[in-house]
This record gives sequence, structure tokens and C-alpha cells, in this order.
Amino acid sequence: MSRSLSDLHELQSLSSEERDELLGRLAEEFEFRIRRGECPLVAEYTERYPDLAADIESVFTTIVTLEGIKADDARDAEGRVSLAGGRVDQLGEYRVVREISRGGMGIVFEAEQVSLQRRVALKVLPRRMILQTEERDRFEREAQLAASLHHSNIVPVHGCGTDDGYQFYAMQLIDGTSLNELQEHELTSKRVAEIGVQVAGALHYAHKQGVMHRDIKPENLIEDQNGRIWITDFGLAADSTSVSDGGAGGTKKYMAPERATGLCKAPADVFSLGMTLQTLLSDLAEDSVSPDLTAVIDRAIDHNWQNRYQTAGELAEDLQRFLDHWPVKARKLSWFGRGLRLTRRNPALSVCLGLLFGLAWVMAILSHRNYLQSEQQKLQLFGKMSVVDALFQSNYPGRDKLSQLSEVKDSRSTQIADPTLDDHITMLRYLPDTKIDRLTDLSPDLIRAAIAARRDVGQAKKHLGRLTDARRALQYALQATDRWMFKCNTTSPFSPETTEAVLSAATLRNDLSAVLEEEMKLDEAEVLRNEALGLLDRIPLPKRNSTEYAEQLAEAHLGLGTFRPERVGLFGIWYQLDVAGHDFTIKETRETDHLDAALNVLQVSSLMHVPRIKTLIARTLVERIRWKRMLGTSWHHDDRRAEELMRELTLEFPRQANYRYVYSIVLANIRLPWDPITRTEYEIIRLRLERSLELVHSLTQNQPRRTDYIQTEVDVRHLLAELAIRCTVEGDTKLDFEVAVSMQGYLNESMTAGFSGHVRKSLLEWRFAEWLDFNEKHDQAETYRDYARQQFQLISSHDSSEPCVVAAREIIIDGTRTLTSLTERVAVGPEKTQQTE
Amino acid sequence: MLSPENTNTPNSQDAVSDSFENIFREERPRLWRLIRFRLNPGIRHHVDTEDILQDVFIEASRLYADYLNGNSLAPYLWLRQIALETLRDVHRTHMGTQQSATERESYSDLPPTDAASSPLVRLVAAVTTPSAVAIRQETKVIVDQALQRLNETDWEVIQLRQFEELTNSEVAEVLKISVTAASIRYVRALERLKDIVETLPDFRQD
Repeated sequence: MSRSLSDLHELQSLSSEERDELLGRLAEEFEFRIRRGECPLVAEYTERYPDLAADIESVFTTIVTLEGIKADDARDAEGRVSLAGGRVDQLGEYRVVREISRGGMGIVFEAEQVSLQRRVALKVLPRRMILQTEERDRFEREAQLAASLHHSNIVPVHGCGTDDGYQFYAMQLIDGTSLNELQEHELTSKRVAEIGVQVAGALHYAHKQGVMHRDIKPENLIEDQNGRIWITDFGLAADSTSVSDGGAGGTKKYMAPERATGLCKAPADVFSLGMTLQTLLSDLAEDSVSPDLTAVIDRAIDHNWQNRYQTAGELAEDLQRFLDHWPVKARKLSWFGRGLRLTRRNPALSVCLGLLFGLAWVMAILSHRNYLQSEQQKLQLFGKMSVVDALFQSNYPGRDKLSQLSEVKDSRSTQIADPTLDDHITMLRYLPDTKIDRLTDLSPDLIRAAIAARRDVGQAKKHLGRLTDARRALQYALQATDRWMFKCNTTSPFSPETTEAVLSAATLRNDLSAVLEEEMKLDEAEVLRNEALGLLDRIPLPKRNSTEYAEQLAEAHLGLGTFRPERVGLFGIWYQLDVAGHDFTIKETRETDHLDAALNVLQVSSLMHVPRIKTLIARTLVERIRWKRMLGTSWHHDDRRAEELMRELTLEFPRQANYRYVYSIVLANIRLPWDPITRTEYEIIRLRLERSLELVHSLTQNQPRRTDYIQTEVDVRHLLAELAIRCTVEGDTKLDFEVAVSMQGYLNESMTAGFSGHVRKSLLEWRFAEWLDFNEKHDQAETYRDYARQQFQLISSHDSSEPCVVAAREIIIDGTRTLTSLTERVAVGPEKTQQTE
Repeated sequence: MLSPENTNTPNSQDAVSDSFENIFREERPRLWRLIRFRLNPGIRHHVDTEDILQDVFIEASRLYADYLNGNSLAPYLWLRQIALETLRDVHRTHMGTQQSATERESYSDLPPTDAASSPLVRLVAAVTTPSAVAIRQETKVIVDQALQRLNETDWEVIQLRQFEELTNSEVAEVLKISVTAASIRYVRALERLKDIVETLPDFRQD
């Protein structure tokens, strides 16, 4: 017995020794291969030695981590590469003369090509810069392709090669300045367009030859003495990940979003050029930039590549139209938009078009089984969904509606709803709804497309305030996703596809919750948010590395942590006004834990540079500030951070509507005190609110159908009116009230939000009436009181026990509760105010 | 026309210096790395890695003939000795102390950031190819902290194998142990490094 035990022990210690020896040999080989520039797979070794798999994985991944650190350490503080002690005097037939510049990818030398005795620019990549063999092959292939390009705006590549472990390529030496160094130059709209025409023309030529640039940015465009623009580094950027990670600043900014999915076609270069032109324009005064040029650039940098110019040639052409003072195509309506405009003039035609649409879909449905052979063809069906995006583009007809509205001063005309919009949505209804069920059995690609299509429709309808439709669309998408998730989970629970399906199921729960929350179905929403958390918890650790995962986890927590004054009887910003005599002081709350959790997820330095994440952080901070005010803890730090985050984002991406929207919310997140305030405090609050109004107003101007934007404008105007009242300052109080009331009316008519809109509007009218009374306009005041009562009667009896309906009834109908009297004003100034009671 | 002496002597000298320059060029990156990692961060502002490398070059070329005559060390290990001595002098001059150049120092001179989650766990778990290793600062900081906690033997072998990029047999020669023992020592050090990383406070499992 004891003998066998000791034998066993001996065997184990022996095998552990042997094991380490074997591991050591394998590790040396693995290391050697990495250092030689190969890209060995850990799996290669674990498959060879399955018994040692765990040990191999643990040792090798540590090696890989250490190697990765070293590669990075050879960069300097600005992220520029160095040759890590290596030195180049001669590479192939090129004799290095001097260093010209360093970037995130390589070092450019001036060199002499000995055989031809000519000066060239030699770009040298440090050793180990390209770790994967496929990447290296691609590098060489593309360098050869690039060498075949002959265009007057493309720096000619003479050749490329490898010597002494360095990859390098030689190109013509251009005497000029790259565009990122041009700042002091006096650029004009016209000059930027000219640059765009040259570059887009050259890109179009290259694309036709099958060469993508992949890394268009100001640094890669050189202006020579004659004003000619040269594109350098053609097709030579490494793939997206290495460029963005090692970037010496900002390359990611120029990279098309779809690149993240590996898609890199002509529209990706179009996007980068668009961003480059926008960067150049950003130095100009805003009013000196023509809206036509802005429209062209906006189209070039559309987030969705299908909405961009599909070729660089189209971009060049439209820029040329701008230069020639022709109307640009980017401002013209799409065929769909034109169709809508036609139907608006001719309702009968609308019916015909609708039928045609329906017919086309029926035919597509009937024939799809034998007709649609490839997945791609099937996907094209869903490509039509991009019309949804067209709804929200600034060139969509009807953008002037809201500007008309804000001119309405005395009338209560709110006949804003555009009938053609309904047609549009009816047409959308012909899209995949009827098809999803059958199609989901096909392939993951198709399932993804179908879910995405439904989700888009849901989001679109939510933004339009069609909450019931939005809910339906999202529920549909959710069902499809859950079926998909279930299927994946039973066949291969640990596959990437399952992870994707689970993430998608969580995402849709968050989307749907957001709609339910707007519908005030808070309990249902809470259930879904918790389900989303549960699903995300099922995603295996290694797969939690994605931005999407962090986003959805934070969204779920944010939803659960949102401050909801509605629960205690006040709507939206009313609690900010402190007018209903509510005592909101609370001692503790679970919600802030959720907000802290969301911030924990988001504030990881690898994520924090992502604009979407920054926006999410700001939104979370807004909620935390609201809670902290209730709890009486200090919130100023959060406020400063949120303001800073969004200010920077809106500066960096001045055309991104969502950033401006969130920024306006951050700015409007103040609480009007009844305590006396100083002139400075008053000015600060006023400036914040006016900036907020300016931001959100520009949004409602461009996208007059976005109910979320409009609601925010209503809120900000109400706050401004209230501020003026309290501080006895002459403001645009009357105008602000009127516009707010009339916009809220428009919202109520176009939204399906139910009682919440009615409560908001009747309270707003009630408050306006009080102000009118105070200003001795008793007739008008009485009229508005009537409006308020009528509005309140519209609330269905079904909702009569909602806390805020009860509160509103006490104020408007019963008169048992009053809003804080207008006479309790706060005079501005250092002195204490007289409060008349 | 020329006497054989006149032609031969410079030629052989050329050959000697030629081979020296070749060796030095060959080993330059490893020496650069050695100096960069062992140079005290406090004096990196005063002396440049390239300058020290230059001193090493001059000193080594002076000693090269002696090396050829009687030293059995592998060329890199010989250069490494000279580099370590040069570093010692540099530290003495600039720090006024006898601080050894081999004294353990922070591998990374980057200021530590508060790593809110652990990128290494993700890396270690998810990584299959070197290029998939996202080059991230937190990883660096975490690994650096873990390296500081290693015992002297483990730290030394990782230093040699990883940061100086010695081969296993070179490590065996430097440490005067068998090739097998060197290999085993390295593997165990790596495993301990990983264990330490996992116990670090920055390293969270959620």
C-alpha cells in the first residue's frame, strides 16, 4: 500500500519534471517563431498535446502578453514607432540618407536608389510591426498593386521589399506639406472642395483598379508647391485593428464604421475622405461654409455606408457641381423622397404607389423560394430597409414644419402631423413583418438582417412617437431573436453565434424597455431590464470584451437606475421646478447602485475613447445627479464631468445629432431653486438653458418628427420661462410658454404616449394661465384654464389612479393643491428676497 | 607593384573589423533592449539609450581582438557583459552611487493608471494570435506589478528570456545551469507570473 503510494508520487513528480521540460522546449519554439515574425497559433500546440492543453495555454498566453508589451514599448511617448535599436543604412538597393518623419506605422527616410541614382522616400516598418503572415502577404500584394497605379494625384510607388527583417517600400519624393500641417493656411470652402475633387478623382481611379487606400486622412495628403494634392501610402495601411491601436493620434476618427466588421469597399474610402474634408472645414467659421458643401460631406460620412456616395467618382462629381454652382445631388431628394413629395400633391397616386409597393413585395414573397438563390440576393431584399434611415435625414421633406410652428404666436394651430408620413409607415409595414417567420429558418445572415430590419423600424417609430407600433415591431424582433438564441443554444451553446444571439436578445430587451418606459409601463420595463442583465450574465467571460456588451450592460443598469419623478406624481422636468410643494427628500435608494454599476462598466480606459460610450456615461451621470440632488449629496463633480464629456464630443463631431441632443439634456439638467440666487448664479443658469435650447432647437429644425427632440425643447423652454418668472426678469416668457404649449400639443397628437402627454400639456397650460393672471391678462388666462381642463378630460379613466394623474386632478379640477404661487418670486441680487406668503 | 605585406595587413584588419561590425549590427537590437530596460528611469532624461549603445560599441571594438584570442563566451554574451559594465559606469556617474545596473527596476516607466477592470484576464483568456494582443497600457502596468512581486530567480530568468531575448542555451550559459534546468525554470517562472497576475487587486473576475 505504502509502496504503491510512493510509486505514484514518484511518477507524478517525474511527469511534472518531464512536463515542464517539454513545455520549455515548446515555449522556446513558440517564442522563436514569434520573434522571427511568424504568427503561431496557441491552438496548434494544444492540439498536438491535448493532455498539456491547459498548461500550454497558460504559459503561451503569458508569453504572447509579454511579447505584445515589448512591441508596444518600442514606441515613443507620442505613439510613434522606433526601430528599437535597429539601424538602417541600406535596405535592398536603397541607401538611407536621412530621416524625414515618423508615424504610427513606419518611419519615412529620404534615400537614394543606387541603381538609378535617384532620390526616393523610403517608408520602413519596424520589425514585428506586421505579425501575421497573411497580413504580410497582403502588404506585399497591395504594394505591388499600388505600384501599378499611375495617376497625377497619387504618389508613385517604385517598389517594395524586405531586408534585414524590415518591410519597406519606396516612393517618389514629393516636396510639399501634408494637409495636417496646413492649419495656418487660409483655407476656404472652395479650396476644400477642390482638394476633395482631386482626391476623390484619384480614389475613383484606384478603386477601379481594385486598390483601396484604407487610411485616407490629412497626414496622408500632401500639397506640393503648385497646389496639387498627392495621396501617399496607397493601400499600405495594415488592417483596421493595428492602425487604430497603434495610431499616432486620431486615425480612428477617419475610419468608416463598417470597417469594424471587416467590410472595406469604396464607400469606406469615401467616408475617410469626407471626414478629412470635414476636419479641414472645421477650422473655418461656421457661417462661411456653404450648406451645399456641408450636405455633400454629410452624405459622404453617413454612418450607414449604403447611404453614402457609392463611388468616389460620385463624390468628385458632386463636389464639382458645388464648385460650378450647380445644385448638389446630396441635397436632392432620394427617389423615395421624390415619390413622397409626388404623393403629397396627388393622393390618388399615393394609393397606386402603395399598391405597387405591396405588389412588388407580394411577388418577391411568392417567388423567393426558387428565385432567390444566393444569400446575397436575399439580403438585398432587406437592403430596402435603408429607406427608414432616409426618414431622419435632414433633406427629408417637411423639415420646415417646426420653424413654422415656432412662428406661431397666438394661434393654437397644431395641424402639424404630415399625412404622407403615415403612407410611408404603411409602406414599411409591407416589409419583412410578413416574412420574418419563414426567413428566420434560413441562415444566421438572414436572421441578423431580419432582426436588424425590425429593430430599425421599431427605433424609427419610437423616434416618431408611434410607441404602440414601435413596441410591436420590437416585440416581433425580440421573438425572432429569442427563437434564434434558443436554436443556437441547443445546437452549440458555446459558439460565437450563440454569444451574438444572446447579446442581441439583451439588446432588444433594452430597446423594448425604453419604449415601455415612455409608455409609462414601468413595471414591464423593469422586468425586461432585469432579463437583459440575466442574459448578459450568461455571456462567457472572454466574450465580454466588446463595446456592445459594455453598452448593453450599462443601458440595462441605466434603465433600472433612471430617476422617475412620475412615480411620485410629477412628470418629466416638473420636479426640477419645485412647484408642486412636494417633499422629495429621500434617504436612500437602490437605483443609484445601478447607476454606479453602469459607470463601472463604462469607465474602462479601453472603452472610454468611444464616443457612444462617452454619451452613455454622460446620460448615466445625468441620472445620478438627479438622485444625488434628492439625496442631498454633492453632485457638482458629476455635472462638470457630464458637461465636459458632451462639450468635447460636440466639438469633435459637430454634425452628430445625438451628441448635441445629449449635450442639451446635460445642460438642461438643473434645478430651479426657490432660494434667492445671485446675479451670477442667475446668469449661469440662463446661459446654460439658452445654450441647451440652441442645441435642441437646431435638432428640431432639422428633424421635426423626432418626438424626443421636441419633448426636450418643450422642457427647456418651460425651464427658461420659469426662470424668468422667478427672477422677475423680463424674458421671452410668453413666447416660451406658447411655443412649449403648442409643441406639446403637436407631440400629443402625433404620439401614442397616452396619458403622460395630456398631463404634461394640461399642467403647462395651467401654469401659463397663472402667469397670464399675474400679468393682468385674465381673459387669456381663463381661456388657457379651459384648455387645461379640456386636455385633462382626455385622459382615459383607465389611467385615473396613476400618481401624476391624481396630482394633476388635484391641481386642475379639484383645486385642492396649488402650484407654488408666482408671487413667491426670487429677486436676483445678493440681497435676501422678500417672500410674500 | 604592392608588396604582399602591404596588401595583406589592411585586408585582414578589415576582415576583423568587418566581422566585428557584423556581429554588433546583428546584436544591436538585443543590446538596445537590454540597455533600455536596465537603465534607471531616473536618468533616462540625461542619457539616451543610443548614446550608451555607442559607448558599448567603442569599448567592444577596443576589446574585440582580446575576445577573439581567448574568450569562449558566445558573442552576444560577451557584448552583454560589456553593456552591463558600461551601464554600471553610467549609473555610477549619474547617480553617484554604486547602484548595480542589474538592480531590479520597474520594467515600464509609464505612470500607473487605475485599471478599472482587468485586460489581462481577457487577453490571457481570449488571445490566440500575437496580433490579437491589444497593446494596452493597463496590461503593461499589471504585468509590471506582477514582475515586481516575483522572486529573484523567477524575475531573472524572465528578464533574460523575455526582455533581453536570450535563447534558452544562452540563459543556461549566463546562469551556469544546464539547458534543461534553464528551460524548466523559465516555464515555472511564467506560470508563477500568471498566478501573481491573477491575485492582483486590479485583476477582477467579473
